Amino acid sequence: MSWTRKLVPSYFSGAVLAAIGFIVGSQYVWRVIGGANWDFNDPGLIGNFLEQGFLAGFVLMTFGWLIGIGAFKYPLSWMLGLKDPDHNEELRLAGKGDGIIRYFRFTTDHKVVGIQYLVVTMIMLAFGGLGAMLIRTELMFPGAWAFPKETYNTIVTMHGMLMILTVISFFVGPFGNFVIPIMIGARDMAFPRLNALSIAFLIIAMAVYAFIPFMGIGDPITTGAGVQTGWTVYGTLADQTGIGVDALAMAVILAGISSQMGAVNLITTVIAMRAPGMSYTRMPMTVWGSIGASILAALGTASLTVDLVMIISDRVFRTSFFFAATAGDYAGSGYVGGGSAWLTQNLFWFFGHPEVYLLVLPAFGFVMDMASVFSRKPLFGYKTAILGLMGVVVLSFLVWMHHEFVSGFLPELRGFYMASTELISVPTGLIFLVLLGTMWRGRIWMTVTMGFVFAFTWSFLIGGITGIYLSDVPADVQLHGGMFVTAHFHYTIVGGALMGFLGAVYYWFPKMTGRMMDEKIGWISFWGIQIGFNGTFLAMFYVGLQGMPRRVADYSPLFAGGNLVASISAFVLGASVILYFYNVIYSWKAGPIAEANPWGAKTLEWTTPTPVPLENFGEIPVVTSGPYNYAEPATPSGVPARGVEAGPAIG
Amino acid sequence: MEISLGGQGASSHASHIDEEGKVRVGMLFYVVVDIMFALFLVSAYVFLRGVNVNNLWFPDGTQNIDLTQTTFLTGLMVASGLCFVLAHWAVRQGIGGLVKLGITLAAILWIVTLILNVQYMGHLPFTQSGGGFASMYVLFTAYHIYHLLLGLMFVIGITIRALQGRYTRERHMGITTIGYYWYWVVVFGIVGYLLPIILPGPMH
Amino acid sequence: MNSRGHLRTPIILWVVISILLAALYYFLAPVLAQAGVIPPLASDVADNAYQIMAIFTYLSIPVFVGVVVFAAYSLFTFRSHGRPTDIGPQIHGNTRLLGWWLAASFVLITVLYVIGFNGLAQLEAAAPASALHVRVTAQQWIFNYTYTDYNISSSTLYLVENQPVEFTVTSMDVHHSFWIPEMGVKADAVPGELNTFVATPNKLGHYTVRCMELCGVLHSDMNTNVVVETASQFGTWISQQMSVRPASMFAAVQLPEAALLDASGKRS
Repeated sequence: MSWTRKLVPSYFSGAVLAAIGFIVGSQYVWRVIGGANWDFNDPGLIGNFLEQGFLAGFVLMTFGWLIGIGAFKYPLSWMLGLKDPDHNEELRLAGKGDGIIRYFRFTTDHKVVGIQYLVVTMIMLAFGGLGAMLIRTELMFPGAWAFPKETYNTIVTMHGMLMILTVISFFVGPFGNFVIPIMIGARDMAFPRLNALSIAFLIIAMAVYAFIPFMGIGDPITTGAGVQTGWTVYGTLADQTGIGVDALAMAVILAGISSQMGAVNLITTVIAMRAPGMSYTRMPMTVWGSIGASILAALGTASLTVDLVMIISDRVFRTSFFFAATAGDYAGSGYVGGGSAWLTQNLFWFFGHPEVYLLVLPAFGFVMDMASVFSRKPLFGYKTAILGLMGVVVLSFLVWMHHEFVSGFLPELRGFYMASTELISVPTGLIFLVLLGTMWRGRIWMTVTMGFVFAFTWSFLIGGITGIYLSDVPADVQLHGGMFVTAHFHYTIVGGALMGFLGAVYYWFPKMTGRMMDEKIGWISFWGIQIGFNGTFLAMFYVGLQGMPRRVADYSPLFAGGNLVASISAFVLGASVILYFYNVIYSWKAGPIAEANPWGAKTLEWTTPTPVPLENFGEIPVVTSGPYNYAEPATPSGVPARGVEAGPAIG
Repeated sequence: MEISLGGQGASSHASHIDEEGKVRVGMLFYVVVDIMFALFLVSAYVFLRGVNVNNLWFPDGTQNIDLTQTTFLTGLMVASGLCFVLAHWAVRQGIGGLVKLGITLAAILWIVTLILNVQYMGHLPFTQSGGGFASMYVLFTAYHIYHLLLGLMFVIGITIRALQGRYTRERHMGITTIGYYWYWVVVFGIVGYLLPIILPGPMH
Repeated sequence: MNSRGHLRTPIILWVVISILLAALYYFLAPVLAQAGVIPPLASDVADNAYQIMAIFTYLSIPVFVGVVVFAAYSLFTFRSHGRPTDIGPQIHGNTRLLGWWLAASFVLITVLYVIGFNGLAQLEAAAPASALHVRVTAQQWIFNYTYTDYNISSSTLYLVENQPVEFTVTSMDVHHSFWIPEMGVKADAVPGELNTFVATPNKLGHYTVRCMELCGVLHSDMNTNVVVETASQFGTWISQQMSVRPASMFAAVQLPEAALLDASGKRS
C-alpha cells in the first residue's frame, strides 16, 4: 500500500512508538521493578519509583520517537558496514517528489527542516506568550486573585524556560536552516541527517515539556503539581519541589542536545560548504551572527546539562551535589551532604549568561543585514561589525558571576566581573555604530522589516543602558532579583532578539513561502507590539525601582498602579502578536505572490528561484564580491548575472 | 553580491565542497562539545572539593577507591587507544593487515573496558549517596560508561569496515575522525583516573 | 546637502535634548522620589546605590539621546517614499569615526569603573567594632533573626538608628535572598554558607524585609517587618526580650548553625 509507505516512517509512526515507549518504560519501573508494594515515600528505597518511572518513560519515549521516524536507519546501516546510500537515495530522503508529507517526516532537505522549525518555534512562542498573559493576569491586581500560588510559580517557570528554548531555536531553526545554506551557496547543510535529527529532538523535548503541568497531581509529598523553581532551576529548590522538575530537566537536556547538534552543523556548514569565492569577508552578517551564536551554544550548553543531570540524580538517585549541610541536617532523608548550593548557581549562570548573548547575536546579524538592504547602503564597517560580534562572543564567557554579586560566593571577584561586564558594552556599542552608520544618508525604505530594525535599535538601547546599572555592584545589590531585572532582560531579549526575529520572518517570508506578508496588517501589529511592549516593561522598570521582587504571585498594594499598567499593556502586546500570527497564516495562504527579489537585496538567497528547488542551485555560483554591493547592476530575477568582473573588496 | 556561473572565481577553492574536511570539522566540534561537558564535570569536582574543606567532602565510614582496579581499567583504555594509533599509522602507510589487526584489538579492548567498567561501578565501596565525593565519583564513572556505550556504535562500525578492507591509504577519513573521539575517551579515562589521586578526599 | 550639512541639525538636537533631559531629571528626580518612585532611603548603602544610579542616569542621557536622535533623523530625512530607485552613497566605513567612537566608549567605561570601584570599596568596608551583629536565618517561608551580642532571637528585625549592623545570612533549606529595599541591603541566603552584609540604618521608621529569590510556594508571602528605633528604645526591647526569653527558643534556632560552624574549619 502506498499510504503505509508514506506514513511509515513519519512523525505519525514516531508518535505512536513514542507513546508505546513511554508506557512501557514507566509501567516497567512502576509495576515490574516496583512490584505490588511500590510506595511514594519509602525511605528504605534509593530514589523514588514514581520519578524513576517517569524518567524511564521519557528515555524510552525518546528512543521510540527516533526509531519511529527512522532516525536510526542510517547509523545502523553504517554500523553494519552496508552499502553507503547513493545520491538518489539521499534525494529521496530529502523529500524528492513528495508532497506535503515531507513536512511530517524525517526529511533532510534543509528548507523542509527550516519550515518545520519555523512552525515548531511559532507554536512554542504562542504557548510561551500564553504563559506571559497568564502571569500578567495574576499580577494585574494584588492578592494572587487568578490562580493559586503554586500554579502561578509553575506558569512562571514554564513561561521562562519555554521562551528561552524558543529563542535559542530561532537561530539554528528557521533562519539558520533555511537561509544560511543558500546564503553561502551550499546545496544543503553539512550533515543533513543531523539537521533532521535536531528538529526531531526539539519536538520530543517539547513533548516531554508538555508533561510538566500534569506531573505530581495527587503526589502526597509535594503539595502542588508542576515545578516551583523559576527558569533558573536552582538545585536546592529543584531537589525539593514537585516532580514536574524531572520533566523540565529532561526536556531541557533534550532541547540542549538539539541546539548543540544544530550549532555543530551550522559551524561546519559555514566552514566547509561555502561556494567558491565566498570568503569569510564576503559572508553576510546573518551568517556571522549565527556563527557567534553557534559557538556559544556549542560551548555553553553543556554547563546547563551538567546542572540538570545533577538535579535529576539528586532527586532520583539521592546523590548530594547541592546539599551542603552536615550529616545531621538531613538525617533520615537519605542525603549525606558534601555538595554545595553555590555549585548550581555557577553551573547555571555559566550557561545562562552566554545564553542571553546566544539569543541576541543572530538578531544582531539579521538587523544589520536588513538595515543595509533597506538603506541601499553597504554595511558601515563590515570588519567593525565582525569585531563587535566576536567581541561579544569572547567576553560573554567572562561575565557570568555578575549574577552572583549578592550570593556571597567569592565577593573578592566582584570587581573583576563588574569590569568585564561593563567592557562588553564596547563591542555592543560597535553594533550600534554600524547600524546608525548604515542608515545614515541611505535611501530608507520603511517596510515593516525596517520598522522592526528601528524597534530593535530603540529597545536594545534601553536594555543595554539598564544593563550598565545592573553591572555596577552597589547599584546591582539594590536592583538584583527585582522587577527591574525582569524588565531589563525582556528589553534585551524581546526587544532585541524577538524584534529581530519578527522582522526577519517578514523579510524572508517571500523566500520561504513565495508570498508577501500583508503590509497593512503588518503595520498595525507592529505598532501594537511596540506600544504593548514598551508599556509593559517601562511599567515594570517602575515597579522594579519601587522595590517589587520578581516571581511573586502576590504583592503589596504599593505596586498596584504599575502592575495594572503593565498587565493592560501586556494584553495589547499579546493581541498584537496574535495579529502578527494571523498575518503569517493568512499571507501564507492568500498573500500576494512575491517576485524573486522583492527587497532588492544582493545576497545569494535571492538569486534562487522561489520556491527554492531541492539542492538550491542548478549550478553552484561563483562569488566575486561582497554581499552589500548595491552599486552593481541589478540581477534579473532568478537568473544570476554571468561573468561579472570582481567588485571592490569590502573594507 | 556578484556571482558568476561556470567561470573561474576569485577564490582558489579547488572543489566546491570539501567532503572529508566537512566530516573532520564536524567531528572535531562534536568532541569539543563533549570536552566542554567533561570540563564542567571536572570544574564541579574541583569546586565541591574547594568549598568543602573538611569532613563533608568524603564522610566517615566510606572506603577509598581501589587504585589497583582503576589503574588496570585505565591501562586497558590506554592500550585500546595505542592499538588505534597503530592502526591509524598503518592505514597511512597502507599496511592493510596491520590496520585490521590494530582496529580489532582496539575494539576488543574497548568492549572489555566497557564490561569491566560496568562491573567496577557495580562494586564500588560506596554508593552515589555517600557524600559529595562519592556523588562526583559515580557521576564520572557513569559518564565514562556513557562514552564507551555511545562509542560502541563507532567501534562496531569501524571494525566491520576495517575487516571489509574499506579503508585505504587514500581514503580513511573514518579512521581519522573516529580517532578524535577514541583518543578523547582515552583522555577522559585518564582524567577520571588521575583526578581522585591528585585531589583526593581527606583520608581518615 | 552634503554630509557635513546633514550632521549639524542632529548634533544640535542631540546637545539641546540632552541638556533639557538632564535638567528635567535634575529638577524632577527629588519630586519623583518623594512621590514614591524609589523607596524612601534609610541607610548609607541605599544612599550610595541611588547616588550611583543618579550619576549613571546623567551619563546615559547623552548616549540614549544620541542614538535616538541620529536614528530618528535618518528615518525622517533619508526616507525614500516607496521602493527606492537609486542607492545611497556606498560608504564602507570611516576609520576616524570608529576611532572616536571607541575612544568615547573607553572613556565612558573608565568613568564607570571609577564610580563602580569607589562604590564597591564603600560596600565592602568591614564592620566597625561598634556594630550590632544579627544572624539572619531564612527558611521556608520566614526569616529568623538572632542577636548574637545578646543571645536572643526574634521574628521581627529591630535595628538602631545610626548604629552599623553586620548581617550574617544563611538558610536552612533552599536559596532565599534577604532584602530590605529601603536600606539597600541584599544578601542571598544560601544553605550551608554564610553571607555577610554591613549597613548603617540612618532613618527611624518601619520597613519591610522581602525574600528576593524564588523559594517555593509561599515565596511571595515571605515578608516581615523591620523597625529602626533609637538606641534607648532598642535597649528597652532587648532587656524585655532577655527577661522573657524561654531557654529552648534560642536553642532551636541556634542548633543547626552551630553544627554548620563547627564542621567547616574555615569559618568561625
